[in-house]
Amino acid sequence: MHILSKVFIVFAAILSVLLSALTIAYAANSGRLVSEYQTSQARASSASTSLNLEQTQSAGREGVLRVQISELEGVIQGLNTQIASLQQERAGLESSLQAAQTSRDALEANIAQFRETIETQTNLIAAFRQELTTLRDNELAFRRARIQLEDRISDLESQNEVLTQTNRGLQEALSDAQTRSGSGGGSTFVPTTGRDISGRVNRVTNDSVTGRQLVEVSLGTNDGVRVGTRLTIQRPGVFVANAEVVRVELQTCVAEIRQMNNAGQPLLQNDTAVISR
Amino acid sequence: MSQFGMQMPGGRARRGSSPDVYTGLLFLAVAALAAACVVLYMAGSKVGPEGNALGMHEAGSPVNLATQGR
Repeated sequence: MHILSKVFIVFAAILSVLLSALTIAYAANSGRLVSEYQTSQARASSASTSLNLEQTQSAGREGVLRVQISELEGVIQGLNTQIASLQQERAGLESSLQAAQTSRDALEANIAQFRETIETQTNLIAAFRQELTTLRDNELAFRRARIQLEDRISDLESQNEVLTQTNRGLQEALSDAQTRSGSGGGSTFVPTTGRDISGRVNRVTNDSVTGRQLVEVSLGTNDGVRVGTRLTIQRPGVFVANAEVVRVELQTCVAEIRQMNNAGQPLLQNDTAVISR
Repeated sequence: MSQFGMQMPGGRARRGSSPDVYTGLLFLAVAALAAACVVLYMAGSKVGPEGNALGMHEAGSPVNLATQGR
């Protein structure tokens, strides 16, 4: 056999083995691919079916959703209208709020003013009450003093009537005595009624209790001086003081100074005291 | 003695065999097998895993072919 034939036989053997391996692999892979292709086709078919079903369902849902969208658009339009009306109402309410706040501020200012007025009136009422209390106390004291003075006046009037009666009796007794004694001898009594009687200031003192000035005057009951008789103390041409008799003796009396002169003239001993008419 | 040109009985000079018709048939067979291998390899590269003509897809795993255009 030729060597070339042998080489060809060897190559043929090797190529046959390789071809068999390739054939086996190709057959297996092609079968697998066919089965996979069929499976894929089945899946594609089922997917297409489900897709169609899904499309149908989605079309139904889309219709429903479109209806809902249209309804919601209507609702949105209604809500927009409502929002617009609510915004207008809000604007009105805000203006009302501002007006209310302004009126509230004005009312608060008025309240503050009224409060101050009330406080002022309260203070005035308290002052008036205090003043009224003081006035009532003063009126009460005045009434008491008035009652005392009325009692004193009554006493003095009674005393005056008694003294007038006594004086009248004494004058009658004196006229009888003068008639009986005739016109000869003796001193003549000059009645004091209707004439000015004057005396001298013997002493000037101060009352230790009341602090008022007291003067002792040389006029007494013999001169017609009584308790309460008002005396005018003077110097020649100069008014010194007015005094009121508070105690009287036969020849002297003690008078309390009621009014001093405005010229600053002091009371001095030997000043003239005249009974005021 | 043959080298001296002497013809000895049974001493015919030995010659190499020459290609005959079987050699030609074997050549054709080898050529056909080579062409079949090339064609089948190209086809197997298209259906084999990762372009491997001799490989086989594993059962249960997804098919992974060679990238197209390579």
